[in-house]
Amino acid sequence: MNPNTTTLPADTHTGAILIVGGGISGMQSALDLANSGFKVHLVERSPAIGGKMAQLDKTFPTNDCSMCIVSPKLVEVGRHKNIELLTHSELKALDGREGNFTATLVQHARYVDTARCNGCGLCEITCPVTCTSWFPEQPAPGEKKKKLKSVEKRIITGPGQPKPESVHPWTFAVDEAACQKCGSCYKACLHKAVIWEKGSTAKIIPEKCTACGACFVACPEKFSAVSASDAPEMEKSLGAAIVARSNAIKGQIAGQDQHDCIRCGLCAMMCEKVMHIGALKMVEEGIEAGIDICQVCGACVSVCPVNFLEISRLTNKMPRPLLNTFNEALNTRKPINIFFPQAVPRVPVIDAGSCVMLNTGACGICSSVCGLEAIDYSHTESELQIAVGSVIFSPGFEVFDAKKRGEFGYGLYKNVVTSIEFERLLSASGPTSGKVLRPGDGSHPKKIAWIQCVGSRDHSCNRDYCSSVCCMYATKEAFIAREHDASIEPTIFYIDMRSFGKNFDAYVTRAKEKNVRYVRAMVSRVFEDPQTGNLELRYVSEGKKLTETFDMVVLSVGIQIPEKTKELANLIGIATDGYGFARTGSFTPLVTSRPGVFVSGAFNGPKDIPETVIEASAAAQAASAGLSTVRGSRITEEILPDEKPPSADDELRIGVFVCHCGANIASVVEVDKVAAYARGLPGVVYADHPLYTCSQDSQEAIRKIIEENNLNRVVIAACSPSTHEPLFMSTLRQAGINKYFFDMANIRDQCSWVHPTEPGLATEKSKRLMRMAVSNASQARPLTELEFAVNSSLLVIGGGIAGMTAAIEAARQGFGVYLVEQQGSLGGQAQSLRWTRDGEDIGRYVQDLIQQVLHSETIKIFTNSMVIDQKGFIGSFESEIMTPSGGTRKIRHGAILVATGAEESRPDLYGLDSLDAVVTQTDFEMMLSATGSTDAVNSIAMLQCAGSRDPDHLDYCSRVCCNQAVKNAIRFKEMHPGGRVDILYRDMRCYGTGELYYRKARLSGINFIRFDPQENPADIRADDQGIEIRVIDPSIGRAVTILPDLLVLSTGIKSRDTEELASMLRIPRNSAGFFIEAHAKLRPVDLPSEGLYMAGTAHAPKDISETIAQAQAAVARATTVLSKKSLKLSGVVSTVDPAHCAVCLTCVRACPYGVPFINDQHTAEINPALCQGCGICVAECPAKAITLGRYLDSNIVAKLTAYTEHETASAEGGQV
Amino acid sequence: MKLSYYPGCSLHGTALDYDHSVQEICKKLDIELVQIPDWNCCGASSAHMTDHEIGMRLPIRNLMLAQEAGNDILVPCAACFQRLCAADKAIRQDPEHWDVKEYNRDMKIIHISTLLSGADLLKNITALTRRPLTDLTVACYYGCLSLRHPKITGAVNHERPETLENIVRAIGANPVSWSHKTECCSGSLTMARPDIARKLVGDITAAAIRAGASAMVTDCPMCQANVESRQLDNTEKGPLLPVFFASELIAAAFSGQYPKKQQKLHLVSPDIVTDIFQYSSTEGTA
Repeated sequence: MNPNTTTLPADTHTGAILIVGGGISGMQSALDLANSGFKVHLVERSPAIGGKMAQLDKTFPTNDCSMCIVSPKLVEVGRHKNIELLTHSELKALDGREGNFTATLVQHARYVDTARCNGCGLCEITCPVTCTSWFPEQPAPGEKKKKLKSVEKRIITGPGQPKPESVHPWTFAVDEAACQKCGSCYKACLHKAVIWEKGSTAKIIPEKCTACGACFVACPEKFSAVSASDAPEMEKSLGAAIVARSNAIKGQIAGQDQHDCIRCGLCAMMCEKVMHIGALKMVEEGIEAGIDICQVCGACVSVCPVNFLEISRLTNKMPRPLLNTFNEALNTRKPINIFFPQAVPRVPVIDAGSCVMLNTGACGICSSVCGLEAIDYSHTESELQIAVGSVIFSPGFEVFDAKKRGEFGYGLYKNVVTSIEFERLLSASGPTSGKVLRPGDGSHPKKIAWIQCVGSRDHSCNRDYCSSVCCMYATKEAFIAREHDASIEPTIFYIDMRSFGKNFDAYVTRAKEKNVRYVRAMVSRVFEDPQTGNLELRYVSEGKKLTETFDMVVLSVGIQIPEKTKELANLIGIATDGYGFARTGSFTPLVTSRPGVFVSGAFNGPKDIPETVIEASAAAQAASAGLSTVRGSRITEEILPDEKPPSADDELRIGVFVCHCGANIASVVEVDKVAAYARGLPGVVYADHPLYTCSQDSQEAIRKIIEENNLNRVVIAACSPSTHEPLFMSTLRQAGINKYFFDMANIRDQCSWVHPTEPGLATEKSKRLMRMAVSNASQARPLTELEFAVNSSLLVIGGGIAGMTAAIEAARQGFGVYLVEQQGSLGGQAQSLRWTRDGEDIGRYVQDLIQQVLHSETIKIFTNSMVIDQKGFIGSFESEIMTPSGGTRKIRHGAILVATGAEESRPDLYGLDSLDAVVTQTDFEMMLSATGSTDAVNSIAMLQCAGSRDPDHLDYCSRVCCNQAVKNAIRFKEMHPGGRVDILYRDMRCYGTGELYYRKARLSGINFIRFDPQENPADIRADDQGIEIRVIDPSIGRAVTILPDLLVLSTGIKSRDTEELASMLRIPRNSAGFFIEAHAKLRPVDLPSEGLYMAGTAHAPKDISETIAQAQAAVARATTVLSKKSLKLSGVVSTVDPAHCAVCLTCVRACPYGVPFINDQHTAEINPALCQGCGICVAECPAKAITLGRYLDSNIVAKLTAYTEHETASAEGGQV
Repeated sequence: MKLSYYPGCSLHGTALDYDHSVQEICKKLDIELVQIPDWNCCGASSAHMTDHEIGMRLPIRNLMLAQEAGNDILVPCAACFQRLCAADKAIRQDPEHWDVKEYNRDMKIIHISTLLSGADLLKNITALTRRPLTDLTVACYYGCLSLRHPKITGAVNHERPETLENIVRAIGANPVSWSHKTECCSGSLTMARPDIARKLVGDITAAAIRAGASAMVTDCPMCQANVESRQLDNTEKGPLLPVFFASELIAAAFSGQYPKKQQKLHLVSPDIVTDIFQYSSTEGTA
């Protein structure tokens, strides 16, 4: 399909791939490739991977939490040894050719060392800057810095006089030797605490001193004769000490209603001594601000413990708060910031535009508090060149700038937001912690309106296409908003409801049942009532002009390609269309104009997450097919020492590490006490409390400690196992210990983070959790992970476009293929289709595919054949095929790809299959291609959703029919310019670029008449006399009668009868008969059983391009198995003890993965290769015949015993 | 700066004061205005909906006359501006049909607000302001014709323009943020359907009042006439908003006077501005 055009021999290609874009698309491609033996370089412009998906709250149609399903991918990509993550970097140039590219990357200065930083976040919390400063002019090199002099001053006063309080005071003293007798400190002191006379040194009277630091600030820099001591954190820096004192005071006076200045002096000290500005001075009435020299950084406001200062009062310039872009500018951030809490890598970046140090050389607080010396202000932008064999370009999208539709008031009316802003408002980790509050006044909105198609389907702003996802995401947002607040009344204003995907219509129906209101009308204007902030919408519905007032409006903004992306695409030679989307072929949906560069995701046309994940895997397949001969050439294998075999009389030697996690745990839990407590527990021979247990050097340290202390069990009390357990387990393995001798106690996510205000109790809880983990570890058994060889052949069931594409691509990847087809010939359903909407010849394409399959040496074809039996498991399947002769053939293979396709629906409606004048779309397409066949036809009527979205026939949408109808209607009109075409529809679902053809159809005179099966049904009479259609046309409000020569029914796609195959392979099917994927959003080509994949219409209705992409995706997924020499099974699997099995079938029924089965010996058996280790069978088995490794009764009892023991211990008031 | 000047019928009729204030302030801003000799009606009222040919040939004649002078054209009236722009587009698309042999495409048609809101002129306006209109809250009202359709008018922000806001800020007034700045005043429908005019004007003024405005500023003579006159039809007792031309206020700010002659031209009492210029009892040049 993609002939290798390079002249260099294939084995000199580079076995590495560059992926541009670290969103869900880039990550999926990266994982598939890295798991198939290729080195991946993943480049992401922002400081962390995750893209738009990380910003969403929930995903449709499952209502899964987006971060919950994407963060495992973030972690997997972050720690994969075959993926080099290059965040905060961009592609600058791409030289060379397919197979041997040289990519030049620009790595922007981060100012934080990714290798040292471990994301504790202390720098960000401590940084006091909140705005982009108006930095003072910097001296030229060689010149001395001039002291700023203020001429415009303003005194800030409070409700009352300043009340000096010596809270957490420092001690100020004058160094007599340094004192130059200028008397500045004496003049500055407001409490007569300084003794000074002209000509003598100054002295501070401790009894009178309120520790306001005025003297400290006033003493000239060149003398620096006043010192501060007894100041916690001063050893780090003055700035750190100021922040620490501010926090201490805040903690002390929290809850008190304090609005007067307490003359702590922190603002003045910060401004003068840390920021080197000196705009603030304490005076009798309050604080005197030099508003002309204030640099408006916000540091003083941050450290003021009583909120006395307000930034706009301190300056004559406009404050410019730093806005958090991840939260769509709905809240603020610091110059040093971690992009979002779950970021991978969780390493901050310093924004050079607003960081004080980087602009004026002052401050530097973050670096002083970093315990790992990870901050480096000397970072510069650097360039990097890497050699790769192919490139995947998946840069994602941005949303339409809603200001361009000025009539909706976005940017002016505070309570009009975009959909992505609303996602952040819904998100639990967003600016309002998931409370639905409107930005204008922070109140809870009741009536919320969604306006669809803002920046889509819009010729006036050059966004003619449909963004495909907005109908569904608006439904989701409305649905979820009501979940957050049941008093919310959502209304969605739309044109067509484009819920065309698998289970999407059912989702919309559920939303309607949950009181989401849908109004089919387009809003013309939004008016804001400036006094209430409410919004009045004007629209026309059912011929009436209506106005309705809402509390908040959400604009469903469309998808567009950013200008920077267009430039980059142009630079590397990717041809794009007028909107910036990639130009790809209908039969080569991932291939760009530059050989060796492939595309995926929204850049390849607006699409949702499952479609993106499919394309991502498909792009991985396309990018690696030409490099299959150099698979594994760039991978570094890990060399592990032998595992020390444990013996029964080994004494328990447990090592315990209680992590500080920077300040995350240690600020609440007294980790040293927990470690001391551990030391006293039975079996523990070593206990310590490192600052960061997860860092690279900590792993080295742990290994040494294991060796030196001859440890045989390790317990770590730190964060969640899902964060670092695999890391720690591999550290054990590297030290030669079985990794299952490891245990973890979560004293962060489940302790310090949730009990920040109860440090005493949190410490006790940590002790208890750690004790439970130690007890569990003492019961740990070494589990073995079985390894078995993988057969690298692929069985493809189905020989249509999906099956043939899969076979060809699998062959290109270097695997043998068995292609089994039920019919006598290959080609499947595509044999009934003629051309794509761009006029490409489908028949010729299918023939071409067939020829490729026939001529392949590694594809064995079985036509007129069926799979009749299947045994085995992933990597090691054995199937039996029945051939036409009646005989059977056994084949061995490592994976299965199901591509059994679907059928055209031919419902018994309107005389279909009995009247000549009534045909389906496919029949019509064949008529149009047969010359002369439509000569006598002057007028046609098409009926959409004929027998679809209909509880009496097919109750789902078949996705392709609207686009197909438009395609055929345009063709008919081109052939018969004087002819008449009427299309009766419920919703025109011409998603993506299909919308452009819908517009073309309307402009060419094709009529579109909307009907509704309930409110306004189409009355169709079809018999020998002819066809008569009566319906009310809503656009003119009158009844029309249509008498077409031909009635074309868009009937949809029906699933095949796959009951036997499904049961044999244990594949679940939904109510419509389509196979159910492992996960609707993130695993759309995987079947729930390991090693089984699917592609094409067997999964759900889709068009040819989507089918080809899914076939390639399935091959990519299968490659992650087939490319391996062997597979290792997890040690945590369930085992049945046959002696106790009563063959009651409880486990067989309880297992959600369908794994237990009754074997020839009449007991239940669990295949360790398929067991997912969930433990449900263990809990359900009435005879306790099943055990799960690592979760034996002895383990659970050990933990419970430790739990109660600790209670006893603390009740007795002491340690054990 | 030298510009050709097209006042149009309105500025020589009911909006005569608009013409005078425009000329007065342009003089002070060092802008030389040369009226297009022998200019004719642009066809904005009835011609353009009666007959396409006459609707075009009327404004085209004006453009051809202006071509001879060679300067850009300044147009205060929004409707005239719209028709001249339409004519300009028509000439560019099909010069042969309109019997245009030569046409200098660099000749621009400039609406008064676009001219005055240029960065340099705003600075000059502020510099020349003798008496700033401090504490005057105004709703800036644009109406339709100077903005829509942007393909004809070339308006940059046709749903949310900012030109008048920038202009009134330059003379020290406070523009309010409000929702009806580009809503239709009913245009010439005010003659045939005064009921519609009443409703539309009522909505506009209600929105302006709710936004806290005590006056309105506009650059369209039709809007000025409609919004003042139809407010008086309103039987409900409520605050009335005087509607000022932007140039009218600029002239007053420049001269430091708001002459009685000018005050009397308003149908709704302009006291809110008169009070700012308390000491302008002398009848200054109108």
